[in-house]
Amino acid sequence: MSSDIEELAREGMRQLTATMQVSPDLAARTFGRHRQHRVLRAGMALAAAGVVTAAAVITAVAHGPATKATPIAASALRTRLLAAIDTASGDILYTHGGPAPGGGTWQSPAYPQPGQEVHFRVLGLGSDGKVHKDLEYSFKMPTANPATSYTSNLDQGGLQLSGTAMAVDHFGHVWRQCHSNFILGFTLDAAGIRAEVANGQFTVIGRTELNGRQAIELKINVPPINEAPPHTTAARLWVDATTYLPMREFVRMSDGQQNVTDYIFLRPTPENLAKLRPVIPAGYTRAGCTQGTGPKPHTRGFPPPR
Amino acid sequence: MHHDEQRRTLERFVAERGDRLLRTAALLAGSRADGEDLLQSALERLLRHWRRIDGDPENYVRRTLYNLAADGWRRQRLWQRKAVLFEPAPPVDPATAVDLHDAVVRVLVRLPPRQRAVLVLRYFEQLSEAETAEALGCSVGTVKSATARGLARLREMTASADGAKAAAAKERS
Repeated sequence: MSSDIEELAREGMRQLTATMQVSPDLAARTFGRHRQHRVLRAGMALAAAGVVTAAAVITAVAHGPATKATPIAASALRTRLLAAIDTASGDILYTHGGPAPGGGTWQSPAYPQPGQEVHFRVLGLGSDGKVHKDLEYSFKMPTANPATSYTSNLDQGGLQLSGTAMAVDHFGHVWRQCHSNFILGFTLDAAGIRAEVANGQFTVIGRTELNGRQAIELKINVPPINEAPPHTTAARLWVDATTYLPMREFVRMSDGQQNVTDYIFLRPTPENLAKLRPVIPAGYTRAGCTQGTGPKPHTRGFPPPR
Repeated sequence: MHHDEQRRTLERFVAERGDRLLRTAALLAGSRADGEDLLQSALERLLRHWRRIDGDPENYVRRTLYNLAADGWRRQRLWQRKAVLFEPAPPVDPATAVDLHDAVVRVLVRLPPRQRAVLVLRYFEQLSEAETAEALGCSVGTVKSATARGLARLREMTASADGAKAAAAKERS
């Protein structure tokens, strides 16, 4: 027998998705990427040895050999790391690690305080370098700031917000700017890292070099996770040995997937602040905030998977 | 299949079934944008294996969506990790639907991928516990426990939303 809460789940999901429609060019984009990947796969088969070498280089960067020649006291380092994030709290935090250079996220301020206006831009580029998504979320940090209750940067976030969302639709050649309620399904990086550091959830591995700069490599002590996989099994953080600001985070998941995220703190100059705004190409027009033309009949009863 | 024919077949398939598949993908991935990325990945696999698929290709795409989502597909790329659950679709009944949206979104965003997939398959796709277990390659016991945890979270969320509404009403009176 179906309970009220089950009916709520059913109806909630139906309402959430009732008006969603695929982008008109989804099939064309999929076909284009399929053909591109066929070419890539053929190339990879021919250059398998080269790929293995490249993979080894990536692994070496993610786990660069650290030296323990100069012992670093964790307590003194903790103080410097916290001070560095606090000092750079008004900067713009640029994070990247996507499939093509140039994409990533920009967040201002890097470590927002309650009541501060926050801007967050997501620029997603496909493997072909084309813009896949360009969005900006603007919101005021809640007074009861949930970001200060993060326990680590590995949390799933869940900050519930009310603000403005701006999105450029490159398929429809329109852009929208709408007031909305939304939830960030991730932590604000600087706040998450600060929480890890403040909690002492790290072990100093040693000094190393990253992107031509002296860095300190930290092992993030991943707490036991009582949830279904995949979940984080290992995490490393590299911080600049001079400024003590985060430079890179490496995360390995229980299913073997790995993510490398690079952090760059930018001064809030007019030029850098402009990076927080999505780019609206000439000729694009502003569209209304209601998506789609209304719910279509939702066919149920498709055959169960065989 | 010749390229042009394959392309036309895909276009027809997406035109006929794309919206339905997108809705499932969006719930599995956490947002419309990520859902379309997920659907595109599943459609690419369909193109790769179309010749070997026996029967309705929609079943294959759905199974692929479930497996990719349960395997934490979103964690593959940084910008896909940066998911923002943003639902501009107008609610059917503004008086009640806002709380419903809110509760469901808040539950979904906090669940790990496999648990989220279980709720979507059970209550959006309307699969039985056994069918859900088979689709996700896990035991019926895992489906039961994930469902119970997800529903408990939803119950908590809606209870706190009701409490807040009651407090606000009391304040106004």
